[in-house]
Amino acid sequence: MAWVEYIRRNKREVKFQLSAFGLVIDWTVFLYIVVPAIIALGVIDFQLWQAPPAWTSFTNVSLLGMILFFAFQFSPVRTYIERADELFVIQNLKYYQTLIQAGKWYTVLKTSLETALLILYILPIFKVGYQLSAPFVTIIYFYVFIWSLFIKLASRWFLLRGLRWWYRAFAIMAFIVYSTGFYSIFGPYIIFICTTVFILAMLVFLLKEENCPVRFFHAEAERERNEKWKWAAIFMRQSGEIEGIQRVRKYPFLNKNSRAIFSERSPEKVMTEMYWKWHIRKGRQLKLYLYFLFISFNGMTIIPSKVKFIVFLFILFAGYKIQEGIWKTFISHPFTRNLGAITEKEIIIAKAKKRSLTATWLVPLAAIALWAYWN
Amino acid sequence: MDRLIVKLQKAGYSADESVIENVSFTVEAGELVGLIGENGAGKSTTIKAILGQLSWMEGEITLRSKDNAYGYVPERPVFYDELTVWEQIEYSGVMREIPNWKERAMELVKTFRVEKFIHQLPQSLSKGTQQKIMLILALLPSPELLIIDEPFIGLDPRATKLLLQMMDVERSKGTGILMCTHVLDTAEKLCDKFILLSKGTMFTQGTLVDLQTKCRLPGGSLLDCFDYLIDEDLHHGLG
Repeated sequence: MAWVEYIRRNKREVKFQLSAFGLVIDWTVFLYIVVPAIIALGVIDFQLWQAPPAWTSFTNVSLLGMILFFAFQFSPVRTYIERADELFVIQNLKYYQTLIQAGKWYTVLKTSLETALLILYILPIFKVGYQLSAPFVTIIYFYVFIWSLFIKLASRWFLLRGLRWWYRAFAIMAFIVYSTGFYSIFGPYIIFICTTVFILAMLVFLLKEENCPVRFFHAEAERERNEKWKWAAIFMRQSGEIEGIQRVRKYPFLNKNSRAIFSERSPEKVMTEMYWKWHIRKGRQLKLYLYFLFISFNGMTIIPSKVKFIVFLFILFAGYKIQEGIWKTFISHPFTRNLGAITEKEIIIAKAKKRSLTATWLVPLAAIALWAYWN
Repeated sequence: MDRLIVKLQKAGYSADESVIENVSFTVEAGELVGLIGENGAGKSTTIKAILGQLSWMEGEITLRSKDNAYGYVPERPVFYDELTVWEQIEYSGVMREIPNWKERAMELVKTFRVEKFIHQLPQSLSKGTQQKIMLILALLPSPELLIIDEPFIGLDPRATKLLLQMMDVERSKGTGILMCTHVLDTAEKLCDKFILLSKGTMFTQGTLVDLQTKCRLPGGSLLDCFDYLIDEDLHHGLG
C-alpha cells in the first residue's frame, strides 16, 4: 500500500513540476528555445561521433570525470513526505518506513537511468576522443552511478540531522575521494577498488531501512517542501508562496550604511543602482543567472566550432530574456507601483534599463563571446 | 476644493466579474473620510481602483492634487526586501522628484523615531516599525491626498498617537485623507464623513449625524449605525 501511495504522490509531483515549468515555457519559448536546444544537442552529439573535440587531445579523461561530479547535485532523494502526514501516516510506523524506503529505491532507479543517459550522451568523447574500450566505459558508468547515489543519500542523511556545515565539509572531501578514485580507474587499481568497496558499504548502510525515521519527520517534510517548490519559487519570484523559517539578514552584505554606487543621484542612476543592488542581493535569482553563465562558458569551451556561433546566438537571446524578466520583476514590484507616478516616467525607465542591462547582460555575454572566439 | 472625486460604475479584475459597483464619493481638502465595511465589502478594491491598479474599470477617478501625487499606505507593508530602508526612501524621493527629499525624510525619520533602523533591511524590522516606514514614504512628498489602508494595525499606542497627530497636521495643511479601517471607535472620533460599503456596493454615506438620522438612533455610535444599516440592507436584499 505504501508503494502505491508513493507512486500516486510521484505522479502528483510530476504534474506539479510540469505546471510550474508551464508558467515559463509557453509555445513561443518552446519553439524558439527548447526545440532548437534539443536539435543543437543532437547535432553536437552527431559531430562528436564524427570527430573528437580538440580538447580531448590535451586534457586527461579524469578531468571530464571530475566535471561529472557536479551532475550529482541535481535530482535529490524524494520521499514526498508532507506536513499533513503528521495526522495519520506517522502513526503507522511500518507504512511510514516503507514510504521512505520507496523514496530511496526510486532514487536508485532514477539515478541509474540518469547516469546511463549522461554517459550515453558523452559516449563519443570516451569512445572516439579517448579511445576507451567498452569495459572501461561500463566501469566508468558503474563508478559514476554509485557515487551519484551515495551523494544523494548522504546529503539527505546530513540535512535531516541539521548538519549543514558537516555536509559542506563532506561534499569537499567526497569530491577529493571521488576524483582520486576516478583517476585510479586507469591505475593504480587498488585505490579504485578500495574507494568503490567503501562507497558500496556506505550505500548498504544508507539504503537499509531506518529504525526510527519519525524522529526526523519535520526535517523531512521541510526538505521535501523546499524541493517541491525549488523551481516554482524561482519562476514565481516574490510570489510569497513559500512560508518558512528563513534566516533574516539585518544589513546587506558588506554595506551597513546604504553606501551609494553613483555619486550623481539622478533618477536614472538611482534606479539603476537600486536594480543592481536588488539583483545582487537576491541570492536565488543571482545563483540561477550565474549557473546560466557557467554553463554558457563551458558550452563555448566544448562544443565544435561549426555550431558555436548558432549556440552563442541562443545564449545571447536566452541571457537577454532572463535579464529582461528580472528587470520586469523589479519594475513591476508593488513598492514601485504604489509610488504611482514612477511607472509613467518611460524615458527614465528606458535609460535605467539600458544602463542596468549593460552591466548584467552585455558585459558577461561579451566576455563569453571573447572566450568563444579565443577557443 | 475636492482632492479626489470617485465615480465608479463597475470595477474588478476582469470585465465579466465586477467586484465593486456604484461607488461614488468625494474627498475635499482638509477632510478625513472613512471607508467602512465588513471583510470582503470591497474597501481594498476601491482603493486599488483609485490607484489605477485594477485591470478593468468603468467610471472616473479624478485626482486634484499637485502633479497628481498622492501618499499611499497599504494594508500590509510592501518593500523591496533586498534594499535598506534608506535606499527605499531615496528611491522614492528621487524617482518622485521631490524637492529637498533628504531634509524631509530626516525630519520624518526623527518624528517617527526610527533613526537607528534606517540602514537595516525591512525584513529585520517589526511589523509596527515597517508600518512607520510606510507612513514616512507616504508623507515624504507632502501629498495633498493621502490614502491609508488599515493604518492602526500593528502600531503601538505611541505610534498610533503620533499617526493621529500627523494626520491632524496634514489636514490642517489642506491634505485630503481617505482612510480605510475596521477600528470604528477611532474612526468615529476622527472622520468627518463615512462611506459605508457592503457586498461591493456603497449603500450609504454621510457624517455621523446623517447616519444617526438615517438609523433613527440619535446619539448612537458608529458601530450601532453600521450594524443597523447592514442589517437593514440585508433585509432589503432578502425582501
